[in-house]
Amino acid sequence: MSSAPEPTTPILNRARFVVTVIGIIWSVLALRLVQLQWWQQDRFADRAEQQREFAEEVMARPGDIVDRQGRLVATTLTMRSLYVVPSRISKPWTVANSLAEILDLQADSLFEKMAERHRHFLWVKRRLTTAEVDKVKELKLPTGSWGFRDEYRREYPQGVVAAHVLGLRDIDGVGRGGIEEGLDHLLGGAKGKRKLARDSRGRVIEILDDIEEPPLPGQNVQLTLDLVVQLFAERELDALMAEWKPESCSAIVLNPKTCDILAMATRPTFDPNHPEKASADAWKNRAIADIYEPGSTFKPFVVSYGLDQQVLHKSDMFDCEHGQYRMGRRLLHDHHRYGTLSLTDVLVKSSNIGMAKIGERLTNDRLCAAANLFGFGRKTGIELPGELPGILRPLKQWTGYSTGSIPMGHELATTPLQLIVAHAALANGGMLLRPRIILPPNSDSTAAVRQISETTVSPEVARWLVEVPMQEVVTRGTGKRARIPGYNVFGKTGTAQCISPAGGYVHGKYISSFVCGAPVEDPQLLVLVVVNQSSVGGETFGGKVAAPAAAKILKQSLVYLRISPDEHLLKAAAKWKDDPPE
Amino acid sequence: MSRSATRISQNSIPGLVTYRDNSLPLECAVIFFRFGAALLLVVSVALAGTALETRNLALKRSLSQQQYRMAELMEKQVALRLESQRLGTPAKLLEALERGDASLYRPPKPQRVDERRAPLLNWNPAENRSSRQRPATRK
Repeated sequence: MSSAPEPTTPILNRARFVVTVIGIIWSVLALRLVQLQWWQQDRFADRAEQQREFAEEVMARPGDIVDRQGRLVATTLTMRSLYVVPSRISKPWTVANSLAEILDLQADSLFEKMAERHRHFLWVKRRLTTAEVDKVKELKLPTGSWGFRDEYRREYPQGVVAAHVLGLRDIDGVGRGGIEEGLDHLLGGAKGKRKLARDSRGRVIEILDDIEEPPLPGQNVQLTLDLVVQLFAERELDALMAEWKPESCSAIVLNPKTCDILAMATRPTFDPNHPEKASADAWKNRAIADIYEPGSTFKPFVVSYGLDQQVLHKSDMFDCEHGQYRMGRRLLHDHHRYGTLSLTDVLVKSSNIGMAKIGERLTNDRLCAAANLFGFGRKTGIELPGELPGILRPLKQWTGYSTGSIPMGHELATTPLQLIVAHAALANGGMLLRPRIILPPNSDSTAAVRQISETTVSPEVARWLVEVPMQEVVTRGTGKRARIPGYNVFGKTGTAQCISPAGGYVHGKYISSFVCGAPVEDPQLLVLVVVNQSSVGGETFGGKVAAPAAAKILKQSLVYLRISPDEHLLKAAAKWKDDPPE
Repeated sequence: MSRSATRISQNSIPGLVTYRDNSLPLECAVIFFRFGAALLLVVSVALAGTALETRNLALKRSLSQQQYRMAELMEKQVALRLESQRLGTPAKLLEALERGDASLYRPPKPQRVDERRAPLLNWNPAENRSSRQRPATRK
C-alpha cells in the first residue's frame, strides 16, 4: 500500500495560518466573553433589568376629614379613568365616535387627538361613573389599544358647607386651598412604588411581586368645626346676602376658652364637588384673607389696656364736646352730640371723640403696645394656608393723627379671625390663645388648656369689660338688635369706611361688623359677622346689618349646644312680651 | 468478597470463553436498589417541591383574592358611608327638623355607647312649648 503524498510547504503554511487566525479569533471571542460575563456582569445585568423592569408610582389614598362630631366632610372614592393608545388604533374615527357617544364628549376633538399616531397614551375621560365603565366595556374595543386606570376622586358630601375651610383636591390629587392644602402632608399620605416587567415593545407583561415601597394612606383629620353650627352661620350669611346685597360677608363662631373654631363661613362661596362652576371671587376665604379697618370693634382693646396700665380708671369721665372736637388740625365728629360720658358710655355709645381723648391720655407708645398685645399685625397661626397678618405700622411711622385714629380702629387693618381671637382674649379672662381648626388626635374635644397662650390684660379688667360696657352695648347701646331672650349677651358693633386701593376711603361704602358672645357670666361662644359694602340702605351700621345675623347665629348655637338659658331672664322676657312696659 | 465464575460455553471465536458470574443476582439487586432508591429520592424531592410550589401558589392566589376582596369591600364601605352621610347631612335634615316635619329618633340600642348629644332645635323654650308637645311625625 502506497503512503499518502506529503503536503507541500505552502499548503502547510496556509493551514497553519488559518488555524492560527481561527485560534486568535476564538481567543478574542473567549476573552470578550470572559470580560462580559466576569468583569462587566453587574453592569450589564443592571442594564438588562432596567430595560425589562420599570417602577410605577402607586397613589396613596387620601385620608378622610370629619367634623368634631364625626360627621364626614371629605372622603375618597376609587374611580376608573379611561385611556387609549392612539398608535395601536387602526380606525380612530370609529373609536372616537363610539366613545364620544357614550361618554358625552366631542367626537371631533377626540378624533383629532387619536389621529396623532405617534402618541402612545391619551386620557379619554377621567373618573368615570360605574355606568360609563360598563358602557365602555360593552364596546369591545381592540385589545391592547385601551385600558382603565384606577384613580381617586375626592367627595365632599356636605356640598358648599365649610367649602373655604376644606379647600379641594385637583384632578391630580393635589390639595388646593384650605385644610386640603394646609394639611396635604398628612392627608395625602405617601406614594408607593411597584415594579412592572415589560417586553421588548414596552408592553407590561407582569406585575412583579415585590412592591418596593407600599403606599402609605393619608391620615384622617378631625376638625374643630361643628357642621350644625357651621350651617347656622352659612344660612345667616345667605340671608344677609339676599337682604343687604353686599360684595362679600363672613362669619366666625368660636369657643373663647379654647379658641376652637366651631364655624367659619364666607360668601360668595363654591361647591368643592363642582369647582368648575365657581366664580372668580368665590375662592377667597375672607375670614382669614380679607383685611379691613376694624372700626369700633377695636375700642375695647384700647380701654382694657388703659385700665390694665392704670392710665384709665373705671370711674373716669370724658367730655365729648357735643359732637365736635378739634384735635390738632383735624376736626372729629360723633354720630350723636354727647356731653360728658363715663368710660362705660364711651364704649356703649361708641363715641369717637371719647376714644380720641383716651388715645391722647395713652399716647402712641401705649396704643401701639395695646395693638401688639392683642395680636394685631401678625398671623394668628391657624392651620389654614393664606392667612394674612393684617397691617399694623411700626411705631416710628405713627403721627399725631394716629393718636386719634388708632383708638377708633382706624389706621390699622385686621382679618376677621384676628379680631375675634383678640375678643376671645377678653372673653376668657385675658389669655390670647392661638386659634385652631384641627383637633389633635385622641384629644378630648372639651380640653380647655392650650399651650400657646399670652397674657394680655388682668382677668379683672377683662371681666369688667365683658360684664359692664360690652354687655351694655347690647342692652342699651348700639347693639340692641343682638338681644337674645334668656341669655345675657355682650358685644360690640363696628362700622368702618372701605379703604380705596388708590388711597383714602371710598365714600358711601362701609364694612359693618358685630362681635358678640354669651353668656356674660361664663362666655361659651363668640360670634363675629363682617359685612363688606352693603349696597342696600345707605349708611349700613354694624348694629343694623351685622348684629341681627350674629345674634341669630349665637342664639341657634347656644340652644344647639345646650347652653342653659337663665330662667329668670326667660320669665322676664316672656312677661315683657305679654305685657310690654308703657 | 471473592468473585466466583463458571465456564458456560466455548464460543466460535477462538479464545473467547463465556463465563457466568455466580454473584450477579445479589450484586445487581444491590445496584438496582441503590439506583432505585436514588431515583425515588430524586422523584420524591421533585414531587415534594412541586407540591410545595403548588401550595405556595395556591396560598398566594388565595391571599391575593382576599386582598382584592378586602379592597372591594373597603370601597363599598366608603361608597355606602358616603351615601349615608350625604342623605343625613345637616343641610338636608335641619330645616325639616325645625319645621317639625321630621323628628329625632333614638334607636333602642345605639351603636355608640358614648352618648352623642342630639341637637335641641327649639330656639326659644318659652315660645315653642306648645310645639314641643305636638306629636312628631317620623319620616
